Amino acid sequence: MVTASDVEVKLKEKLDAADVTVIDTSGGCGASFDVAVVSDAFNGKMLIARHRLVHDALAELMPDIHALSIKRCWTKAQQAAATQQAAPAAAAAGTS
Amino acid sequence: MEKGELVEFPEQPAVYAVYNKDDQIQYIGLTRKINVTVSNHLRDVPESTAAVRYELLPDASRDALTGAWKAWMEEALSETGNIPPGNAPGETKWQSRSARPKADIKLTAGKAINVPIETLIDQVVKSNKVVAFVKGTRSQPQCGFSHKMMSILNDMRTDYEVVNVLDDFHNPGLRDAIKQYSQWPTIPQLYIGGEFVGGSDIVEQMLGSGELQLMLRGESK
Repeated sequence: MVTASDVEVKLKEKLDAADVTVIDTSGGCGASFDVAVVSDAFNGKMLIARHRLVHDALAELMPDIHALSIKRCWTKAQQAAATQQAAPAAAAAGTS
Repeated sequence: MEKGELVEFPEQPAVYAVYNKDDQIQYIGLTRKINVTVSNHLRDVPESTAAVRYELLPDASRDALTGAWKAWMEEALSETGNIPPGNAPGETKWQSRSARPKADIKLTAGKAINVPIETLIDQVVKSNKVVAFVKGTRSQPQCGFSHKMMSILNDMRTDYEVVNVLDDFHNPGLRDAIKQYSQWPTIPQLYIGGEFVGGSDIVEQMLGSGELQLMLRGESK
């Protein structure tokens, strides 16, 4: 059985990922995951190439995974930009 | 009979005629649900849909419906001397596309043939503009991701082909062969203009960014 932490460890190891979120959507049987990855391995790569990197990183686990939904493949710069955009909104919410 | 305003139509069978803003008849149709059909026309041919005249036929039999349609058609013929442009042979803008869904592509007739499956995949991908390899069929997807991909293509009113990887009788070995072909480990897979585009996550994100729309119109790259 594949666990969410197996997936997370693989992605961190193979993609030198700065941030990895893995959600087990299978209800516990380890067959279905949503993943979001932040890594500089994605720098300068098209979305399809980024997904290929994620597939390659998980190649050993893929035979036991039924469904893999890649929600996000960000570079560190993209994550920083997104956090910055969200920050003013969060600050505004805090004052209300 | 008064021409109806384009406001609220009842959900009932009707025979109807559509007029453009110059009051010229464009199309005579027959429908089980006049409200749905009129909104489809407004979406598909807004420039020619200015007014609709209709007659509700709530409990009419199939023969009575076609009879009413013929009577309207003859009336239009005697008035204008022509059949309405939307009813011309070969005209497709006014006909509901969802009425007859396209059949899925089958790679073989179910008999053993000597052509490698990779060659058949290549042929289908190269000779059709948009092809989706999915689990299940258009009407019965057997996987949430396949369903999502086809829903996106349907919403965009894309003319696309479907190949069912689970149909091992007509498409023997396709489920694994397609993964080798694209070097992509999951299904569904979308191809546009002979090129592999991605799986359902990618298609969804490309829809969000507008890239998919450009690609389907052949404007990308």
